[in-house]
Amino acid sequence: MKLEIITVLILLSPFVGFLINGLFGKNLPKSLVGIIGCGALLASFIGTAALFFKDATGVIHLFNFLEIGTFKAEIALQIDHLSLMMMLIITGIGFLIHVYSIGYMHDDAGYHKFFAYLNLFVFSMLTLVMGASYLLMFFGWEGVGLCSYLLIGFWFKNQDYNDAAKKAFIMNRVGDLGFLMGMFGLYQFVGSLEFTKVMAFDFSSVPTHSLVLITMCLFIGAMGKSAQLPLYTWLPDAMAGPTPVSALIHAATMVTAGIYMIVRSNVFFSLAPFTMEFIAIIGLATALFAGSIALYQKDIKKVLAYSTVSQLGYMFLALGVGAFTSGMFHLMTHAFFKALLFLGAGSVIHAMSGEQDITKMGGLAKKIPITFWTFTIGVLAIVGFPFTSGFVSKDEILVAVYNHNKIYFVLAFIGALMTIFYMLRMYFLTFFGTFRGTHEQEHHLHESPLTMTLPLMILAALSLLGGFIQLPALVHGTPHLNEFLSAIVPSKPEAEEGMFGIYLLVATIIGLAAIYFVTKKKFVVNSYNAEYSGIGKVLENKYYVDEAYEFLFVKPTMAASKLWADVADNKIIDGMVFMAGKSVTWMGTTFKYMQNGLVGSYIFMMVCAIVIIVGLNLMRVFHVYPF
Amino acid sequence: MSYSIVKFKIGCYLWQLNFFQNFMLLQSYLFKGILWEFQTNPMVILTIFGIVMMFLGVVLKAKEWLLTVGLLGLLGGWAVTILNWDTHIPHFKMLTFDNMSLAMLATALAFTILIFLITDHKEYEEWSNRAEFYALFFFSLAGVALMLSFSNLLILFIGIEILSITSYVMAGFRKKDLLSNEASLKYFLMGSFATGFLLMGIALIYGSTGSFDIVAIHAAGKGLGNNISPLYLIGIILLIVAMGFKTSVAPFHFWAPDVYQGAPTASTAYMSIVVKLAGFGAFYRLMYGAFQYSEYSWSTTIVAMIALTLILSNLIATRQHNFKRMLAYSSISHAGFMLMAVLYSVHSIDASGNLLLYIVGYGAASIIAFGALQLVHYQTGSDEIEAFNGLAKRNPFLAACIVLAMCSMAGIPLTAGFFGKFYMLQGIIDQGHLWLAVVAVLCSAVSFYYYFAVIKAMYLTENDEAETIALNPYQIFLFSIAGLAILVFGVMPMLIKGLL
Repeated sequence: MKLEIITVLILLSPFVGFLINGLFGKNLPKSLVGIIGCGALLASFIGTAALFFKDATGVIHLFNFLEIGTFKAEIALQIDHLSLMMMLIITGIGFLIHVYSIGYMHDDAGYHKFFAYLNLFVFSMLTLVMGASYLLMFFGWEGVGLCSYLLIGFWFKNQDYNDAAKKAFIMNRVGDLGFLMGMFGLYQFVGSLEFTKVMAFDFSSVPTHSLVLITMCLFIGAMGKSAQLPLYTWLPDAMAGPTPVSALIHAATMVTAGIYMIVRSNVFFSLAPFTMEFIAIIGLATALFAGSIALYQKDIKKVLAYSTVSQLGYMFLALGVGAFTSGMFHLMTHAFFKALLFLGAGSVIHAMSGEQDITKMGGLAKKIPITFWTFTIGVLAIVGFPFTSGFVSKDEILVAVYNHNKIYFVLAFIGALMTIFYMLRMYFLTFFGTFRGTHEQEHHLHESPLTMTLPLMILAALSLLGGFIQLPALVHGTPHLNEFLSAIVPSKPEAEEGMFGIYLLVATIIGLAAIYFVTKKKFVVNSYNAEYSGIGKVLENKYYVDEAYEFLFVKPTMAASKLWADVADNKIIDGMVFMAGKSVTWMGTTFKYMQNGLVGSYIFMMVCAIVIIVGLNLMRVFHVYPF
Repeated sequence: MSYSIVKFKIGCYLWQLNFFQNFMLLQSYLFKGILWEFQTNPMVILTIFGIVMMFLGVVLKAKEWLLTVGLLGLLGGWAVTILNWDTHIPHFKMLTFDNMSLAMLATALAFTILIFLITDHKEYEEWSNRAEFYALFFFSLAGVALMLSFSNLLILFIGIEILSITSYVMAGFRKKDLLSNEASLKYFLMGSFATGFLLMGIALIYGSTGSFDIVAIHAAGKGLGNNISPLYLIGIILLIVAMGFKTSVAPFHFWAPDVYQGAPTASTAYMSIVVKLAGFGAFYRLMYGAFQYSEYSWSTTIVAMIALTLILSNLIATRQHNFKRMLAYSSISHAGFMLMAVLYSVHSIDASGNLLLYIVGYGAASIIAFGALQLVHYQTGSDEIEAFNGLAKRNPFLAACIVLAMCSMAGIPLTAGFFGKFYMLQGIIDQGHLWLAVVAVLCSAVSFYYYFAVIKAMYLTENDEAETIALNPYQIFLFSIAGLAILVFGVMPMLIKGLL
């Protein structure tokens, strides 16, 4: 088959799945809904894999959406190594998560709706990464935002969940505004939003301050979508959605859109050193900030959510120091192990009959062995146990940071230590010790069905082995990913100090893990007692950021809008609007009487009109003015 | 036997042979000519089917087959139309089917197919003279074919007359209904009046240019430059008046609301879509084809008519409580937009494509509105907007289609109606009529009020009494196709616009 056909099928297959399940899902049997939902993704995945193995690349022009003067909004898809990599992650992990959802959502009343939304999400996400212009990327960007909103508020009967969905949506709007402004700026200078034209553009003609402004605006967009400081607070709340959603959207794919966008734009981001430094600082701060909050969370999904924010911070740190491929590499490995952890957490929650509080779990290792072992691999990968995927990618980032700035390195390293702490804390509280839940829950404990455990096993294998595509030079590995992405990201020569980082990392990780085992009792057991004090309390309450935002932004906005509503809107604007409306109505009523139903009067008016038209025209054309 | 006799006999024989041969030749020419005409002129097949439909009405048993045969005829006409794409065959220097006229005719036939599906309804099945009703559609379409492809003003006149006279009858087809009779009579009276102006205009143009042929008139206009004679100017204005009447442009729109309201819904749909299409097709062809070089003498009149049309129709529409009457005013306001294509046709080759796109979007939305009205009217016995109360619960699919149609008519992005309006406005702004564009946008804003009143009634007003409305497969097809067209051409307007 031709490249065009496969590409279009990859994109349309989830959309067709969405249409079928969305329109007719209510009347279809559950098994068929699941098969359609998963089948759509499997088809996309197979198509993507075919493109990958054929190494097919190119830009596919579909049609012109609109053309105004020189502005052309063309709908075109771009297949290159970067988008192929994202497509593999989206469709591959997406498929596994769809399969998982068959088991997880089995008893839910909105089963067909869930699959329809998930398919729509995958369609939007694929549009985001396959689009050949910033415009189409923005379309996908908004599409995933919408699906995220729909899926966070999936159980819409709970008002808290609705609030969480709204929060995610509004926070993302703030970022989207930045993205839009960035696009406007880009268009102003480049005159096109197509990737091929933007990449080929000579940015030396753009003044530096403009370039900084454009890149900053785009980065603000990335901040919103990828939950960076200060726009991160929606992501932990987004855990209100069903767990497969958290795994797919809020860990593996959607939240990485910001990273994809910056890597895609690396040509002009690297020309704005100020923005790059800013990205690195924001990424680092987010990594530390979210990591420290995760230390004291009690909800298993909240821990994972803050961990995601923190890991995204690492990716931005990598981008900020110019290690674009390292960022992409960590994006990929993170997609593996974080999807695994979320799905594992879902399996735990499933076993615990919906309980999410880790202080009420304990001793689950023997009850749910498959979940336990796969979860163990996930934890090992995220804490950076040597030669798991997380270790390799995180090491690469740390090396790049070390070469860039030593202080950043120390801070990033502290962040990596935090990861070890909060992950192991959660891990021990969940799987070891004695069971602390109710008797009812203990009675119900059971391993999840095969549809749920099979994706766990596959993801565990990926988490374990995913790092081997890019082993560091120290162990004589070949950087396959660097070569793969070399067309999009110009690779940098690897610095010698790279060796240093890895020794350090291995030694410290093993040492600290040992320390942790020793002090396990103190850390873990204390967590049962619900009350924290001092710094613990601050962290448990997430630095009171939500409260601060409430005080700083929400309340003043509310007060201002109330003021405007009472004074400006009610009196001034409404006055004008009502006056316009009333005058329209009045004129309508008046003119209505022209239509009196009498043929005679109609013809009379027509004749008058003809006389006037002819008269005026004669005067105009022949300059005859009788008056 | 003398030699001379033999010679005579042989001569006779040869002559006979010759005659016979000539006769055969003539016959084959005639036959070939008919066949050729049949293949290249969609009007022929339409006329034949019109006659067939009339005879089917006489055959008692054939009544069940009326709709099927009618649809077959339309599809046949559609096929002939499509097959002549890019041929530009002239017929006796009277007709020329160029791509614009073929595209418009194909659109007209497609919409008539959808209108036939509307008539697949109990209300029409009860009519005793249903066969004649369908026959009238075919005769009327023959007139449409003439209007869309004329290259001689006489053909334009004949086409308009064929279309008008059938329309008068179609408007009054509910014989025992007083409103329907009134509609027919009003339409006839005022229509004859307008025909008078049309003939007068043609006569004046003939007087000043010496020809009925639009190519010759075009050439004469080129020679005139700005030195036009009063005869010529008044001729053009009278033609504009007559065409404005046919396309219901203010201030010649007075017939439209009364006629639309009184006529049976299928006739109203036909008048508001196909008749309007034919009117604008002819209007465009006339102004662009014949008077392109004397634009100086008519563009100001058209601008004034557009502004007046938009303002009057939108303002009055806000005060309508009757859905059908509201649609009549809405159709007048759309005529204002379509007239923009005529206005800037002289300067932009895009005008024909834009006109086609606008008509497709407007027609698809109208067909949904009228089809839904038909169903609602049959159930509640009322044409009022109130009859749509709670339709979202009575039939969610139908309500969703109406929302789509109303959004397209109002011109909301991602519907065909948006791009129709968008390109029209772009065209007139490029030509320098910025203030007219401002008026049009403001009027469009006013139009949201009455379009959304329907949506409000369907979704926000409860109606516990009304029962659900069931759709048969044809109706589902009708609404889905029209809804799909609105969406598809709202995303890919170039599919239509790029045709011409």
